[in-house]
Amino acid sequence: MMQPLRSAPHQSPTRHPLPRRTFLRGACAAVVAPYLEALTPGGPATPVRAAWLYFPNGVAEGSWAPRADRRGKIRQLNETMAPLERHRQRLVIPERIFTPRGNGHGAGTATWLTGGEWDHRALDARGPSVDQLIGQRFAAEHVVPSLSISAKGEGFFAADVSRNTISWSAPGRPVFRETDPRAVFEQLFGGGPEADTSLLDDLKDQIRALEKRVSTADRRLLSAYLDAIRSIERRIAFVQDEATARRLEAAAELGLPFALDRPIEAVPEDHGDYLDLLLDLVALALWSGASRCASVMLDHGQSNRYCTFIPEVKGTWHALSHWKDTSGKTEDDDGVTSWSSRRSKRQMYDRVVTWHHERVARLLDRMAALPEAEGSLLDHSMVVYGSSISDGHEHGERDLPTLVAGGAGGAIRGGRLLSARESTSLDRLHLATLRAVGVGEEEFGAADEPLELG
Amino acid sequence: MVHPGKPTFPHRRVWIAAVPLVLSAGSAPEGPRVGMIDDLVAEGRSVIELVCVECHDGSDAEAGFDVARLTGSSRAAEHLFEWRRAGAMIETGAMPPPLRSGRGGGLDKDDRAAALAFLNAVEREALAKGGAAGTEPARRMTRDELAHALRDLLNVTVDVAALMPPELVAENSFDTNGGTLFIHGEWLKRADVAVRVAVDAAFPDGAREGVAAGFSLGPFLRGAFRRPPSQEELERYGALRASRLKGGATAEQALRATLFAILSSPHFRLRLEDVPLRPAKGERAVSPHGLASRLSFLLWAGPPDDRLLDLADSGKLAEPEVLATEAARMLDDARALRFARSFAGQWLGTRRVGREFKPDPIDNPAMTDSLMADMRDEVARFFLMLVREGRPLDALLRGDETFLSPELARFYGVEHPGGDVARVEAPALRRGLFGKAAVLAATSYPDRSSPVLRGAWILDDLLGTPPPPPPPGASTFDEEAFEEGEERGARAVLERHRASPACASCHDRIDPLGFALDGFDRFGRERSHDDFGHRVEATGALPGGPEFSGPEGLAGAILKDRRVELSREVARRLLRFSLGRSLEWSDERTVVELGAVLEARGFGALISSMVTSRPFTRIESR
Repeated sequence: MMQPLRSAPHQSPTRHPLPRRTFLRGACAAVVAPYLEALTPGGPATPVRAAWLYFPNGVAEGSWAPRADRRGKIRQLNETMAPLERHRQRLVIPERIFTPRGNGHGAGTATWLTGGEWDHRALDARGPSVDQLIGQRFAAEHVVPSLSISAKGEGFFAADVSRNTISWSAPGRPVFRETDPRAVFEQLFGGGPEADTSLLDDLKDQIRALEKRVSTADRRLLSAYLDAIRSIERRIAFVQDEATARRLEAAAELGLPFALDRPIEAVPEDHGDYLDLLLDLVALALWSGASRCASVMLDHGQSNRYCTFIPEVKGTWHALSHWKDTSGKTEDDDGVTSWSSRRSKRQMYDRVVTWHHERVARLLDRMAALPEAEGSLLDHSMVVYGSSISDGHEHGERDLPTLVAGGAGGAIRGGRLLSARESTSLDRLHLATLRAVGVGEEEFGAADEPLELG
Repeated sequence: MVHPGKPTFPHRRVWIAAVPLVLSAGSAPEGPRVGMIDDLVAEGRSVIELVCVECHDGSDAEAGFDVARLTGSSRAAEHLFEWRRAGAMIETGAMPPPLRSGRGGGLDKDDRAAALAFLNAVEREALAKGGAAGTEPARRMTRDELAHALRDLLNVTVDVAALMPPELVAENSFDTNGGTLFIHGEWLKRADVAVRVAVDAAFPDGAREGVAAGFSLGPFLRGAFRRPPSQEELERYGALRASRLKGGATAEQALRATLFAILSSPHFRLRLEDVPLRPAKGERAVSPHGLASRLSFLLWAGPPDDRLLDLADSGKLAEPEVLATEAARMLDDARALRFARSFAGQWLGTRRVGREFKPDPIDNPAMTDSLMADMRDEVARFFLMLVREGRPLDALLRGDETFLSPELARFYGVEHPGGDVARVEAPALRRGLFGKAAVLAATSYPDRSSPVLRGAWILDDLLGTPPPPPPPGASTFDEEAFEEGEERGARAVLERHRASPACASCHDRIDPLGFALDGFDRFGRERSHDDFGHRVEATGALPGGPEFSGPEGLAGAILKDRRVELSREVARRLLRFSLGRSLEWSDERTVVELGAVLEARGFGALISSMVTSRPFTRIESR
């Protein structure tokens, strides 16, 4: 049967659907955070949001361990973690974390959030990953339920699936990771050319007609197409919502450098500025209600980035992580850089890691400064920060550097080292995160008992 | 059991010798009689079951290799690739691992022979049972294919690479693999942008109404959807255009909206030319329009032309002779360079040059972007020559003609006859793949050459026998070895490294191959001294084979002793690229057949046999 296109001559495809600036001008000047309304007695509780920050290449042995008393109270963080010291009271450091089913630069990265096993032929790390599970559960409430961001990769492996994927929407379906801050902003708040909604309706009709005809295998492709269309529709609706403009304006007043009418630098030249901008977007996404959770890869799983932008550091991150070899002539090295001693190479490796801790500490500052019902965004969030490798030189698989920050709405009691006699599956932390955000899974990966964080 | 100091690999030849037994029935098998083989196979099975099961058992088996699940008589062949990995481990003595007491690993001689006989039997069984068409789920166009399709349909050039994110690719795979062509909101949004830019470019100033007047909906839809449009589709887009005109749009505006709608359709962006109504389970022939697109996306990385669509409309394309003739015609077309760039560039890794492999422009002013593009193109044009002109297998490693731009000729230090890219006789050193700068650079680190990378590249990309990944911590060299290297050169370093049995089992195979190319630096320039400043000794050997020297010696040794592996690996990569999926155990039969075609009749026959092969022309629904 013929299905005529719905015509919409009044709405040319290139035109912005709404004159947003008028909104901004007319918006209420008061600070309106989406979850401030939750203050109303008997109203819905402020939802707990989650974020995962992945970094590659591990940390040198011993540089994650804090000074703690016998009951696990952290007295002082490890000196390489000094930038995070000011957030000590909000941190939990679990000991002896490991991923039982996948390790290293490739498999460890791909399975960091899935608790699965990496099948390099099928390109499958199992899944959905923990962030996607949460996003799928709350899909109806957010424009980008689970935000996925990565720092733009450099060098070998920059296009490799396993080293560039921590989020899987389903087994064998890696989630696209945005690297361009401007595109992240547009994902959340629109901007750039907007889709023609009448055309989207027509495309959905075409796909539904096709779905009846194709094989089961091909239906998966079509459902991905349909999901993609729906995500664009969700954004259009979110952008057209007056409250969105007000939230953005409020965020700008609180120091987040974004506004609908101000262009964002695509990829800032300075790597620190770049990562800070991406992490600011994470704070904005969670605080504005655009996203329920966010995952960030601070670099790809075997980052060969030259870290010369950090004072007194030379060589690439991955080469530095093999800190016990200073010859400068292993297969990891570039043949030009060499180090005078293990000690100095390890110091540089530490500096790279510490530099990333600074970025994370700055994100936590931001989150603590964004007010919400009875506290801040950080109070209502759970931030998991870690790597899929312990000591980079040994490609260590046990005692993965892992920490949890934030209050998770009271579910987390900070300032503690969680001592463990035995290796603890990272899946138990994922299960705890799922419980904290209100996804009542019974089990995740290999875990049926959540890590005790309260 | 002692770790073998100098392992040889006689059994690999046993595997190869076994293959023709299956395929050319009638030729008398040499060696032990069938009954004896059966006994040995049964013994091998029990060796593996008894020894390996200690660690490789059940759902938590080491490396996910559950012996009991894999040895079951009816299932063994279906796990061909796992068995091959196991075979490589057993061959090199890496498995079983040394005992805790420190006693050496590996199987003793008799057990090893039996285990390898079993693995050999698995190979034969897989080839005997295999050959099915395989499933090939629909996929979307790649970023490059979308760019070519927009170009071919609208006659415009759009820098799609600047508008869309790069495709993620699995290690050792191709961007045409449907498994990595993910669809998500951002892809959709940016594909929209690319389409919009292309549609805008199709209306050059001054010719606007003219374009609209000359437009004909039916042919455009046929080109975009790569099949005849349905009546409903004609009406749908006709109605859209009419409603825009009625709403006051100019002819140009209405046409732009129509083009955008057509190029937004899943029928354009997804490869859905061959979607039958609810396919029944089982194997069927790909429809003629499905074949037209399979051919054109393989050889032109874009949509079919009118002639192919006409042949599909009449059904003639289903005839094998027509398919082969069309493939030859398409290879002669300029668009075939897209195929060569994409396939050869990804297979050989040369596409990385100037991208992932990017030397510091300040330290290396000679390595300009244009030179690196010419280096990549030299390999693509060289490969295109092989398939276009039906050259024999040997030409891959010995072909004495090449394609040089003036800049690349200067880089090689040879005369250029003038003009742009010229086909010239290659100097001896530049013959075949081993003399190509892009190959030598792609197998180097950005700042130095690496015999290890080059050797591993030969074993993996050319011979299909990738060395297993190094064990944890294996990248460590002790510093003493390097001090020694400073004194005695790169070769000494790696020799010292190989004195460790754990390293030797693989590096004895890898390093000697790479050293044969040590007369080239990291950019493929000729050199006499290595990165340590020592005189290059470009001698090498295949495992267990005689010593040879330089790229010519390497080519000769491979063409003499590894012809079968080389031709099969070329066939394997080509099949994987064309089908847009990973290969399964049952595809190995096709690989063996196509490899035999390449070996006997060259690259032209390889292409025509491939496009008429069962997996290319048929499809399975499961």
